[in-house]
Amino acid sequence: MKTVLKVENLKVHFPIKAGGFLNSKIIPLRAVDGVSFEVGAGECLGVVGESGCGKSTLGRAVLQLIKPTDGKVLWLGENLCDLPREQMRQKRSNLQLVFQDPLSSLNPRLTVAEIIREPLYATDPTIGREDADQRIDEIMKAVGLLPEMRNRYPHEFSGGQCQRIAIARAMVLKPKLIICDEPVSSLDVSIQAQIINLLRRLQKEYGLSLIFISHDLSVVRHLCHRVMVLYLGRMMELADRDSLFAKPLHPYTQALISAVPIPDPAKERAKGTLILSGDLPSPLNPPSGCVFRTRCLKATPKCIKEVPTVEVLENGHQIACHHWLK
Amino acid sequence: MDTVLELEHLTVRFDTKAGNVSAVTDLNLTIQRGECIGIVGESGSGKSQTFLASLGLLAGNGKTMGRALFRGQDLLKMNRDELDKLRGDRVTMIFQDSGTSLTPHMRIGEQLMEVLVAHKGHAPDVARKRVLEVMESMRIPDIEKRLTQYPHEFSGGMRQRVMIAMALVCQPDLLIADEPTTALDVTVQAQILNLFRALKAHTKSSIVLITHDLGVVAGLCDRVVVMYGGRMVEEAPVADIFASPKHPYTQGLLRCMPRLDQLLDTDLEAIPGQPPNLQKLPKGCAFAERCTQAIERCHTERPILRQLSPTRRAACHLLDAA
Repeated sequence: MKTVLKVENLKVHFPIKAGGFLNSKIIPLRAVDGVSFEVGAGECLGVVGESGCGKSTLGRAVLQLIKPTDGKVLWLGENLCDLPREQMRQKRSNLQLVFQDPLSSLNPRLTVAEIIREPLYATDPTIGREDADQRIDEIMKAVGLLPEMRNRYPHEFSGGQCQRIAIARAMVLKPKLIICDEPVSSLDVSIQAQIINLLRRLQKEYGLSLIFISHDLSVVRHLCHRVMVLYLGRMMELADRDSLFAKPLHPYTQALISAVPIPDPAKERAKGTLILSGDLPSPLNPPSGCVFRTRCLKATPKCIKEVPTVEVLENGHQIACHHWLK
Repeated sequence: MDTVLELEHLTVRFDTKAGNVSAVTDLNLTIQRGECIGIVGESGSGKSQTFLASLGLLAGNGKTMGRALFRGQDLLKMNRDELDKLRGDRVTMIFQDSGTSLTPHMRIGEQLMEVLVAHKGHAPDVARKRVLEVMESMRIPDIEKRLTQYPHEFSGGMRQRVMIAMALVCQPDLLIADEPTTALDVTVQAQILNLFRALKAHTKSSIVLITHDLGVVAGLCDRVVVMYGGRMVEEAPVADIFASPKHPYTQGLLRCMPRLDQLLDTDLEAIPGQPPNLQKLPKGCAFAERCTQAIERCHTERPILRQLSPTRRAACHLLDAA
């Protein structure tokens, strides 16, 4: 598989004012702190983690919507972080984004056709009306919207339909990579399945690469080829789907998987859930050493002192833990 | 049998500019002492409105009809004072968004003690003792310090614990939890569900768990009610609803979700179409439009909720034919 996106040691730090009135100082909030990964052509990479783990920031930093503090984002070998604005704008036709809340990500004053037409005009102002209309109809059909709906406004649609419009807008330029930031989290279960199926189909048909950001492990397992687990801005584990779910090596991944309720009373009541104590620590004041150590069942004094390095195993499984062998 | 809550022909309507909206229609449901019942449905199915209406918490343009008998007394006929005596004491409710349910300018300890002082007339030191006891059962570390803090100093999971503690200090007969873990991360959700499990084992309170997550229901509830378009479409003991769902909507719900215990490399069996418009509910079955098994009768005649066995009810024409 050809690698299309390569992210190296990506860091996004936000300066935050802390302290009192007299001794205020700027300290960095490390939203993403040294994350590296690759995405192949036609591959779907899942990014999972709890709120505040940096998964959305990561997605935005890859697209340069937030300027990374450090690190490289190589798109087909070219570092996007170094590109001037205008050149980055050109690249965007290949790199698109779909957000969680479909209604607020669509302009309420534009009709569906106008929403989908915008990116077409933005990249090619000379495109003819008929050409544009034809492409709009095509993509509307591909995402399961009827071409008759083209003159309606977003508020006339349900959440699931709005998400289809957002996907159509992202797809109309035939991009090579789409970053989906919790695209099904605000939808009802029965509608979720429709959108997941749609993404799966589009991905296969168009050979799309996807970065699928989600907190829902069941959805990620269904859709993704490889999965990356983040915690407090750091990568904990990265592996192909089957080895991650069958044999998670990191204590955090193990707890995450075990915490997902299974819709089967007998299994759900029999399984022993690994209950982590406490909450996510403040990202302003992350624990020393391994960031997960304050909630980890295997933590030792070594975890306080040393940041675990990412080990790459034979099958490509990446793990950042001092004690994964235990 | 010791019945705690009995809803009879409960109907909730909202007057809106665009016309009448039927949020809940003709709902009949009994809840026994010590029972944990799951109310499952999508947004707009009427699952929350049913209980908000029962407790007199509807929005101003809402109208409730029918009866909601709590220990034999009709809650819908009570005036505000009578309701205030019950709410927070015998019947308590917790919501999804714990951040907005707590008073931001009061210390957590004061808020919790206030409940006991108001309802039980406890002296502050007695109230404090009880508060400490409940907070401890919620496994909140460092309680003494925590009680002097304000809600913004708590994380989402901790605030939800405080809400549960507040709902429990008076040992209510009925605790209604409306999507209590939906806003929480999975690892925190697991902690809270564990608390509910302990609660079920150690108290006699009945619990109503309103949720859209069938996984949560599977781990916690004894009985499940499935709602669609404002009506109950199925009711069954928890094991039955997962093993042999009778209503096509329940079947569809169970089939369409990806699950961690099964791996599919095919498409999910999505339920086609969109949830019904409550302003224009069809003449027949509200689910007929999306139902893959619908027959002609489904579009013309509304199915009634039938007793299938002593413990099971469902509303579907296909079950008549069988």
